[in-house]
Amino acid sequence: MDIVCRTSGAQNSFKLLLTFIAIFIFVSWNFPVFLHAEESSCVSCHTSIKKLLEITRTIEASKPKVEKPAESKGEG
Amino acid sequence: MAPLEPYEKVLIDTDFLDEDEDVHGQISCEKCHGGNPNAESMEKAHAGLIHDPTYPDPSKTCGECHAMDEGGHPEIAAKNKTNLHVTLAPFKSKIYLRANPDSCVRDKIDNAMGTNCSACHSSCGQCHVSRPKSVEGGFIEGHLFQKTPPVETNCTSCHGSRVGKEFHGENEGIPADVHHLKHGMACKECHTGDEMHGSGMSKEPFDRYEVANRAKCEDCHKIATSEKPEGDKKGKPLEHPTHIIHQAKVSCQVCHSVQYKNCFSCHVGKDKSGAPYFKTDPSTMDFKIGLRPKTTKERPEKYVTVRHIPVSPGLFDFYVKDALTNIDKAPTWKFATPHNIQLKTPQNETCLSCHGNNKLFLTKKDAESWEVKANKDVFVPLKPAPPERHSWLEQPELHLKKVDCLTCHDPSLKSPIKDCQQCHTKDSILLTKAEGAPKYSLKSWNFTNKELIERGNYVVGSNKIPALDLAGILLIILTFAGCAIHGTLRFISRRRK
Repeated sequence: MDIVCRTSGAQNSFKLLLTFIAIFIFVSWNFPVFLHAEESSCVSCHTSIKKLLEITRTIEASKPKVEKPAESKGEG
Repeated sequence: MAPLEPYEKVLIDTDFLDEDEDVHGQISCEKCHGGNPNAESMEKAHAGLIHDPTYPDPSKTCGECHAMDEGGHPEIAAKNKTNLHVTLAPFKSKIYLRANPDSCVRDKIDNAMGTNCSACHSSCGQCHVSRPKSVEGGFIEGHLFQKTPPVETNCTSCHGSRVGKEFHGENEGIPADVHHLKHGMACKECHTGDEMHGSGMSKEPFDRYEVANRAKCEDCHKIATSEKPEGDKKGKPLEHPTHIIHQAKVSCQVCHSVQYKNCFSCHVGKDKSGAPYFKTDPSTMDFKIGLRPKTTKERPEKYVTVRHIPVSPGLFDFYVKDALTNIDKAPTWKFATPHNIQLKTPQNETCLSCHGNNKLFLTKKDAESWEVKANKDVFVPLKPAPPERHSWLEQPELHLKKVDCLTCHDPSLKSPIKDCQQCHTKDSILLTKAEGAPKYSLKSWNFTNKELIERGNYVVGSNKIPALDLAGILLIILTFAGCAIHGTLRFISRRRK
């Protein structure tokens, strides 16, 4: 009986280990980009239309108004 | 092409971060672009930011992976140093050739070129990631790397006024290039990645046509021979005999291009805010055949299409007067390869559409007084008109009108046929060799060379019927024979009496 219990305990541990490995592989296989993107503040702004619209509008508004530049005439 | 909205220029597609979509998305932003991704504010994050990390030197970015091919030969990034898209070397060398040698003037020219001209360069990034800076940049597709740069946003955003409009048929009344119109071909079909990345030459070429791996018509189109030549899989073999006559003498565009754009009198400067501008005189559509001053082994053709380039003595007047004191050192009508190829063109309709058609050829009359010396080697010395060159013939005009040129100027012969009897005979070569020659000839019961006469040709001695000749001869023979028999019979009968 002891032998049976020990065997099933070992089997359970082994199954648990396998499950952890599978989860680890699944996570590491599918989410590195996601994690990388989450970490990068560059990406958080440059993938958001809303944020970029706000920022570019602010930048445009803060630019000093200049006279209309001379336009090129003819074909370059 | 309208520029992108400011936010669109820098908006990254989330697909870029997916390894399956673009492996470049696995590289951290700051590795290529610098800046500080951990900074709290945008200003600090963008401090030291490099917009285009691939210009002028991509060795630390693209070069990390795309430096050498498997055989150790320079590949892509390694060719960058002599890639004309990056260096614009011939552009600079041609201006220097015309420039005032004075060092102070040269400095000002450099400044002018740096401000107005050099912005037209490209780079790895400005082809594969964003639009070129000269058209205000912006990602092509959310920073996803494009193996082949799109035609509209990249190729023709720089090569648009002339090549782009010619190729797409955007010049009024001029059809698009047959390669585009009929076969839907894009730039990359001829201008491969290998060519676009440069030839890898150790020395920068003086002229862009010197680039060894440049696209050539012959890469696809070969002259048809008995043995099927390599390359015929891609392009139509050149079966018409005129290709043999003109090969290595006349460029393909001379026969197969139509009117193209010529530009004149460019002036560059800066406005009050310091922004560069240029002004050119109106462009004209024209077609001119000129001489190529220096032929090469790869490009031996002497007669080529030439395009007027916009250089003018006052090009840099805004920056420095008398900048181009040596303007006559290089032609202003330059060897060109217009991108509006057609199978049939006005100049290849017949031989005489070109030969003797003086208005197609570039002469002194086509040049302004200041550019006559510059183009002296490009002007075509006009030859006498074809009737004059064929004055040794009886009725030259009639011959030129009625006889196909290739009958006498047979490409398989070393020199043209000048023996009258080759045509003016019962077995005239007009019946066998000429283009459109009849497959048979009724010579026995009709007039000799009847077929030729029906086609409007004139052949001496053609107005006789061989069968009638034979009948006449037979009649004479029979008459003599009758007389002889009659005489013989009378002689025999008299002797009996």
